[in-house]
Amino acid sequence: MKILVASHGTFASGIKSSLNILLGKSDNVTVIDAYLDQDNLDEKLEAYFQSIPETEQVIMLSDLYGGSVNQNMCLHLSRPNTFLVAGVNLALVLEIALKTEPLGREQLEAIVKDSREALRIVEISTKSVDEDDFFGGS
Amino acid sequence: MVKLLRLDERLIHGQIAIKWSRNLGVNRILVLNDEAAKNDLIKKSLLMAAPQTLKVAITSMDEGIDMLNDPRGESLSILVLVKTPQDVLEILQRVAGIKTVNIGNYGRVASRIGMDPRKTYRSNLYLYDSEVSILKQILETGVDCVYQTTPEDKPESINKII
Repeated sequence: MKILVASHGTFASGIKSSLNILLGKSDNVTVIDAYLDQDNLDEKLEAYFQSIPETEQVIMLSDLYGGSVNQNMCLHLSRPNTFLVAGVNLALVLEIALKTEPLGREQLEAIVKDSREALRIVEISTKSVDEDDFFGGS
Repeated sequence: MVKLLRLDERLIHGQIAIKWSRNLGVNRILVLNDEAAKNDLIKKSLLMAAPQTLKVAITSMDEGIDMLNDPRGESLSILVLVKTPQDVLEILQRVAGIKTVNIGNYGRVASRIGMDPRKTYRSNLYLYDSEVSILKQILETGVDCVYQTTPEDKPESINKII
């Protein structure tokens, strides 16, 4: 399974930099920073898909639903075994990058739902367990 | 049982929650740090970073060492986290049976002595000479001590680094 992250500007390569710190490596993650030079996004996407075996699953992640990067990625949804999720956050890429097997639609739905939970107003309310609780249970 | 004793000045954070706890398959995390134990805000921010699937305790050095010596811990699989080389050494001196020490991140966050920067040993390891000598004392206890930031990184013997 391969992951392709694309963004307006360097958000995508920034995500890759964060992944390398958190995971140690991210070989199956490819990034495209769009609109930084004259290079054409369509051509970059085309070249990426040319380089991936036809049977390999590809999960595309775009920075913004409705944005032009997302629109360009949409055009590749006709490829078999390919998904596109818009509005990427780090929690989402991390969860997907930790999977080694191809994902089903339902699994991906669940990961998207969990990653949405990571976008939240932070409330400080958690508790440390006390000694008895630490040794109790499994 | 202590599965791994790790020196990580960020204590519980992304690498711990996402990689180490899953990779080691532990069911408890015990953080020993006097400052965190008495500061509720630090405690809560650390707990926020912890995986929801396992139990986490944040204690002072003394309390934590008592817990590590508690026979009830033998059936558990515990990841122990501390913030300084000195704390690693103290635990090794006061708790029997720890076989592996992992050095993950140290020297970026730890307070400096005066204006002098630490010497760079690896991309996530910066030490003063006084801290190198503590690591040498750690090695002298006979424990297996390696530098390894994430489970994917190849472990390197501290012996060869310092």
